[in-house]
Amino acid sequence: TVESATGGQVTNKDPLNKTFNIYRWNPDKPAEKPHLQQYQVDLNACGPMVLDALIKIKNEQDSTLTFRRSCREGICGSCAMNINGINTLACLAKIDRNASNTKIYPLPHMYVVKDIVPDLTHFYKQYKSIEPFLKKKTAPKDGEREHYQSIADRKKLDGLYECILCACCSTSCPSYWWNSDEYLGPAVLLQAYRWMIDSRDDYAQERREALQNPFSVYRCHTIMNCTRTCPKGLNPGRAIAMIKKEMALE
Amino acid sequence: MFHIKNDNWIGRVSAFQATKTLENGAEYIKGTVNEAVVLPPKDKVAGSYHWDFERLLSLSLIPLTITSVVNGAHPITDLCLGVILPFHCHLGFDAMITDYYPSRRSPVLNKVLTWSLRGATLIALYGCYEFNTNDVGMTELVKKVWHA
Repeated sequence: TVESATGGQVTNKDPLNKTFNIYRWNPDKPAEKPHLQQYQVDLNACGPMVLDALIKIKNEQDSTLTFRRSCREGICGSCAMNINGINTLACLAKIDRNASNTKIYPLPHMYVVKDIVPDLTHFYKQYKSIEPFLKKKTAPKDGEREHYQSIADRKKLDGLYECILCACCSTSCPSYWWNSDEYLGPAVLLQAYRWMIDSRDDYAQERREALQNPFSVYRCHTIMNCTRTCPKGLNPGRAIAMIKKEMALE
Repeated sequence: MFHIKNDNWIGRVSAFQATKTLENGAEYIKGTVNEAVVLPPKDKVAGSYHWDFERLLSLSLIPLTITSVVNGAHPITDLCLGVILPFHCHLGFDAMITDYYPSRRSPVLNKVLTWSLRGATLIALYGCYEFNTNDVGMTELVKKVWHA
């Protein structure tokens, strides 16, 4: 039943119980194999998003369930996980009220810290390697405190700066699965492109040259899982194609 | 799983969580969590030039195939096909070997496969030459099989 916040007439909704199959693994008992644990949740007493169900399970049923979360509005990127086979943010993924169960797995081909928390250390190290900050060759002139940028140049960054580094795209890419040590992956390459085409940055050519090897960019075979799965609607596949194009013409 | 790489606490935590040696995983952490990944050495030949060459061969195959279909067999198009097709296929297979058996992970298998592929491409080149010179030619062969 649903409680009314204002204390008025309450329409009693019948409980709509759905199963959640959640990947569990405990590093304190590493010999126990990872397994799927089932939880029943009344969707009529739960928020609409998968994260709401996870929090409800953790609150009411099993407080050992471990997952990352923060903003609950799709802007921090913490709750990235594989829901029914698709990498998205749990706070943006609506629970399918018609399906009998929802499967929740950690991001694919990532080492698991606990339950559905992946180890993103290598992902962040790769992000650091592309030097995601503004680099200038000349010091600013006396009196000039801003780096000016035209509106047209700023428009080029639209669709690139919004990346929240949730790792959904990189972990959906088969090339990244097989070669994550050396292939940078769509998320990092999107950001590499974002800095390459920033008109305020002076090191575009050096950034391109740093990627001149068979692995960093060229393991991309335009599989396009990345663009398909991005929860923010960005297009890493296109950014990678633009990097290849700029590198090809050098 | 419990290899301790650094003395500091952060290094120990990351070593527990993610350190895998080269033998049993595709991914491993080199250095501490705060060090950036080191990109491989720059090599334009293996980088953008390789990619350019791949696309050049692929693009050239389009008009070549169309003229062969429309015009029928011709010694020059057969010659071009007999050279470009084996190279195109070689680059395709080589990309697969790099993807699934990269040298950093399977050094021996990578070498074996790469050299077998090179040998196979040479045989294919020779075979195409022989077929184009002393037999009906590639376009004619496709035509015959198609209409058989």
